[in-house]
Amino acid sequence: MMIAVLLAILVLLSLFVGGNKTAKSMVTLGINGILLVLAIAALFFGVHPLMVTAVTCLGVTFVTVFFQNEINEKSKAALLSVILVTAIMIGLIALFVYQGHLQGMPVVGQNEIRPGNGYAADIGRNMALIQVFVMIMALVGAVIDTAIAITSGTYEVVKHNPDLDRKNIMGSAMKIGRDVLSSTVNTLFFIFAGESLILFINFVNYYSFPAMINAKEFAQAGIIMAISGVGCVIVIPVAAALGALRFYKK
Amino acid sequence: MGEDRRRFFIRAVVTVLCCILLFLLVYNNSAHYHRTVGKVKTVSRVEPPAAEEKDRGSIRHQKITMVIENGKDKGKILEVRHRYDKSLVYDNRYGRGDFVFLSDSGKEITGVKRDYIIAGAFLLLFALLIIFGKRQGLLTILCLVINVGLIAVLINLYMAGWDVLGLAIGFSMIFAFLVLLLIGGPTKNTLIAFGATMGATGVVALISLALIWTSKDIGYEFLDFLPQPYTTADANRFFLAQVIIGSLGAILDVAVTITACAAEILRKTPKIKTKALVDSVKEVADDITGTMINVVFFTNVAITIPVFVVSMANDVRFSTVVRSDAYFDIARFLTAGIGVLIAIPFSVFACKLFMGGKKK
Repeated sequence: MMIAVLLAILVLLSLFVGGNKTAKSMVTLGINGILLVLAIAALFFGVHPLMVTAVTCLGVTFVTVFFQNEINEKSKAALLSVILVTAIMIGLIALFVYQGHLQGMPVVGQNEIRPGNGYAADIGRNMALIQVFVMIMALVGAVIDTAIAITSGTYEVVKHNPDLDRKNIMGSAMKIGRDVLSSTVNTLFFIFAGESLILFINFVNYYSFPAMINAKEFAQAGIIMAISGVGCVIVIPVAAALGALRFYKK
Repeated sequence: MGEDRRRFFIRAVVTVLCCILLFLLVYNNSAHYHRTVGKVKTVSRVEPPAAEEKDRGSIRHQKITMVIENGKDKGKILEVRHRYDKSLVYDNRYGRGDFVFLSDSGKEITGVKRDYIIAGAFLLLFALLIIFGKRQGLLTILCLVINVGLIAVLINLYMAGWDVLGLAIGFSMIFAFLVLLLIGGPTKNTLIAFGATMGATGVVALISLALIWTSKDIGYEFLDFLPQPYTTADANRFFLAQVIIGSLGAILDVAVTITACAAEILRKTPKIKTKALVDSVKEVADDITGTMINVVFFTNVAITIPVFVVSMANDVRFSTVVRSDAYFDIARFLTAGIGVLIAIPFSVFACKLFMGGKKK
């Protein structure tokens, strides 16, 4: 089976290609995977989606930041930035989900999950809040990456130039953030494009461009990408300010 | 510093105003649609009309009044009844301020107008990129706009009869080259990163090719939106095209970080020995891969959460969902993860080959 072989290749590569931290990232990934499965189970058993969101989001952040990168000044600043940005973004995400009706399954086309195939609609779970959870998880993944890049880069700068004042530390941190921004947003874009390639073709083929830009499934994928990008930008000033506050020694 | 702060402020205000203006243009674009658009004014919950539905606890009925926004009936007030299941798996619960499309008869809501929501999300991203990202932010926007344009070209060529896999391969080269050129400028580094990206993408594509074509049990009926009718060979090509484009971004990210870092080390310490350079670069690669793989994991796999919940609530087992609906998302995550790891030796090797350092 393809997934098993791919997983085996991924694990083997991580052991041979990278160093210790790359091998460790497989453990991080495993824990994150288990957290996600537990979250799905909790949602299935009817636990409130906001509860699941809070617990999973904190769990994933702690594991990815503290376990993958050890507990130190750098990772503490990164963790705080991620939590702050997520707290800022949750309201915005809910606004997009509710105003854009982004919840639930695709309703256009011959998708496997549809009432005609016996998938009932009355499942008794709040799909809108589950969609908020989806967008938060995608956001957290991307924001952690940027936050760590900024705080560890800034920490190195301060280590080599201990005389820097807060304003200069903040300036360096913002610069580091801006340098990683472009490639992170590109990574998000290509994941979105790869995922939606068939959808684009299908809509242009059978429906129309206006139908596509108003479709739920297009909006779901596009807004996840845009919101994750927004998080990656907002984390720059947040992580820079926290770095300047915490790394400044005098 | 005061001057800087003033310029930051002016740039922020101008950007925000431009974005609000653009948003309002999309928000008020109903006149451009052929389908009738209505804007919801009031909503009230009403009792279900048929007695039989009373015992179905999850069904709700709404009475919606709306104003028609376009066409010859523009300005007319309309009253529509709407029924939905409160889990909202396939349905919507409407509220004041929603824009909806109406059927020709005007009696039924056929869909939600979401174009302004998407425009809002991307304009917010663009505004923040300009305000906080400065020059790099503008470059990122330029990159995104060019990439979207290229995707449009790709789709048009596909419609003109080109092969989807060939297009994905050709365009991933163009994507990679343009992105690297925009980020790094026309330098030797850009070429090195391009070489590394192409090498890593090639290996990922070959691994996926071998696996996709030898698997007999891929359930393509679960690959949503696949153009019908299709043969297994068609479906294979679509799947591989998705895999290649989906892993490109992560590979680019690693290649850029590693080559930029190697160049910076060489600039600061021109006399560094090749082995020391390679060791440093490997150290950096080790630092970034862990979080990169987790980014790729959540961005690809998070969207399958609702699929799992809906399926399991309909008595489909977790493992069945992994083998069916979520299969393609999980496979894309794994190939992108492999891409991240493969990109490391390619980037390190390219740096070693073309940047050098002192041999002894």
